[in-house]
Amino acid sequence: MTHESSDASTGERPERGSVTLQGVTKRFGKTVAVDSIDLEVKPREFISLLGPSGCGKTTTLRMVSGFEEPTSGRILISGADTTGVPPHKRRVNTVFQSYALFEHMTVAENVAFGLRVKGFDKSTTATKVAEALDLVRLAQFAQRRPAQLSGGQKQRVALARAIVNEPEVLLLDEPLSALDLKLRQAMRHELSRLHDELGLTFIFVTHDQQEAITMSDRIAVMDHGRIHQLGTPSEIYERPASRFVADFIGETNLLEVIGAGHSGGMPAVRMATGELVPLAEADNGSTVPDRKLLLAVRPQRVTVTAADQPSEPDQAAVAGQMAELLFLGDSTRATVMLADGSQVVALRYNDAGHHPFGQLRPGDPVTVGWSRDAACVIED
Amino acid sequence: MALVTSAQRQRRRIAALLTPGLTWIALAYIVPGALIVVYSLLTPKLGGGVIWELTGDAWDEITSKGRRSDADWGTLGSAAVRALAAAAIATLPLVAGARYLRRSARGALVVATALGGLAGINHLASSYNNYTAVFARSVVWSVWATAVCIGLALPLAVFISSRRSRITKNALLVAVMIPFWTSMLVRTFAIRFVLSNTGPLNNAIESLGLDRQVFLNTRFAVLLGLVYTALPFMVLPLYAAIERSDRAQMEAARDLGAKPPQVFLDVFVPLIRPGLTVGSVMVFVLSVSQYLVPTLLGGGKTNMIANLLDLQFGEAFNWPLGAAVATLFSLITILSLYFVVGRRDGADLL
Repeated sequence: MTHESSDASTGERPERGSVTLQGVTKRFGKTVAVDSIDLEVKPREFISLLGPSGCGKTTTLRMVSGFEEPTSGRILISGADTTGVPPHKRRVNTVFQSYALFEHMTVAENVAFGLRVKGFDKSTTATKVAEALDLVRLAQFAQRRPAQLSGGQKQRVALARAIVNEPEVLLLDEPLSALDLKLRQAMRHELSRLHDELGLTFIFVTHDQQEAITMSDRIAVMDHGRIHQLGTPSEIYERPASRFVADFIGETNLLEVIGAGHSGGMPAVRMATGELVPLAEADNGSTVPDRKLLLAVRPQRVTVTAADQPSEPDQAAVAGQMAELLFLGDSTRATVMLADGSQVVALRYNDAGHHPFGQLRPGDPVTVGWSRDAACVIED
Repeated sequence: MALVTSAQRQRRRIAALLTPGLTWIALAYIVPGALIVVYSLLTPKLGGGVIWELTGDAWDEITSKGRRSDADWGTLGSAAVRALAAAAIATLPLVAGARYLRRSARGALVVATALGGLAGINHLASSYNNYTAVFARSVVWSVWATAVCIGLALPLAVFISSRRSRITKNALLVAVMIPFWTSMLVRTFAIRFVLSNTGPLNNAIESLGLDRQVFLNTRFAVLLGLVYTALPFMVLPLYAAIERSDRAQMEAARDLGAKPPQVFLDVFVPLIRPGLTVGSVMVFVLSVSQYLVPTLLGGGKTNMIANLLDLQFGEAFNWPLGAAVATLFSLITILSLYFVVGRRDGADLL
């Protein structure tokens, strides 16, 4: 299910900051942590490895940083094969999940560590450390110890300590997971800003789809050691390629359908309840093969109208019964039960003093609908 | 009013809980300790005990220059030379490893100064009088025992800590502690047998076609005995410190480009520093007061402080002199404990 970007093997000289994974597999004993992954990270790209815990994303990151060696396959950084190269000789740096700051050193000493062990002279080190601390807005904390800092400040020290080495690739291992919600949102902007200012390749590991979607140029959704889908955030969100991706990224209605060729020149599928639902014209033609498929529609794009109102042409229109209305503060969530027992969820923002689903109440017969470009089919 | 009563009751309860312990400390430590100091200022009675007449004889005896002492300005000079030589030898690896040691330079300098100072003081004390010589010997050997224990225990503790299964770890830790379950007397006699002229060690040497060696009643035997007895007291705190240490910090150091020796000195050693301090203090204190090991393995020829005490109280019947030695010994131990532990690592201990 891997959707490779096409510039992988055009024979061009790979640029500084690119990372290439070729058939990378990692086994721990009998467990396959990473299963034959191919991935081409472009220079200066912000790419996220997104997936639930145990999906192999952290192992993948640790293979790029050199803490794990692939069982098979190879990894190229800036075009150079890294097989057998130990972590301290790789031009990548990591921001660790637990920060891993040196507790016995001050903030400045922490940031200076990488430069010092590489033998930079004192004045160069001091200048670079000051610049790095300025960049993460921690200049006034240089003489503190990590124990005297808040979680967000520790996080920024960990960032400064990594980027001061001017790595070709910056690896971030769930760097925001230990922060509270507000701080996490602030740090997202901070990371995006740093990525823009530094022009580095960022490989960001997270299990938080919101983080991945807001910051990344591209996202690789992983599960069970494989990449399920690789694409831009909007591609991943609008056109999930598998049931796993559709389920993992936000809330989705997944409905069992059967391919129905086409209807009136447009590809169409037949619902389990019998209605024919039109789809947007796909890249590969205008018919849908006759087999079992899944139809994915985001709740925000589902409309619910009273059953006796006429539905718009070109729209899906499926009969059902309002099962539940849930007030969520900023929005209202309607659950509609279809004739075959499956449910469709619709989500609407609340207008002040204005019920988003009109006079509809639980028990009312309704029609759910969506425009044909709102739905996409997934091979089950 | 209710608050005051509850606070008072709380205080009374704390006092009740503390009383047995404090009584014990008073009876077992403070009273005998004070008595020892008093005894050191009294007149010896023939056949043991003291006559209650104040005198400074005992303190005179252990602080004045010995009759056969060769301590003079020349001795002072050669002590200084030894101190410098020892410091220089300790500094050599520092210079050789300067690339790695930039940060640790200060620590290594402290070690070099301490070793140099120790060598100089040892030389001075050895040639001053018999008592200072015994003190110096005890301290120097205990320092050596501590150093050897660190060298042996560190790899051992790292090895045990790196085992994956909990069961293996516990089994290895128990194995380290097994010698404690046998009487120390039996263990020391067993070592005596192993090292003896007709023991397994010499048999093995002879079967290789070499001459039998004298091991027993040598400094080597005493050092071996000290290390053997104290090793678990180094392994356990080091193991605990390694288990508690944040391994991610070592990975971070490697990630930032540190070579393995730099990771060891700049991150690993500072991380396990509390364990090193605890282990060193325990090994040193245990070794410096050892009685059985120098008696059974050193043949009584190479006395340590405990042998001196035994001699004064048991055979020479000069209790005040013994008490003066004991007082000085306690002072040295307490002061060194204060300077090593009391300052910084005291708070992180165990």
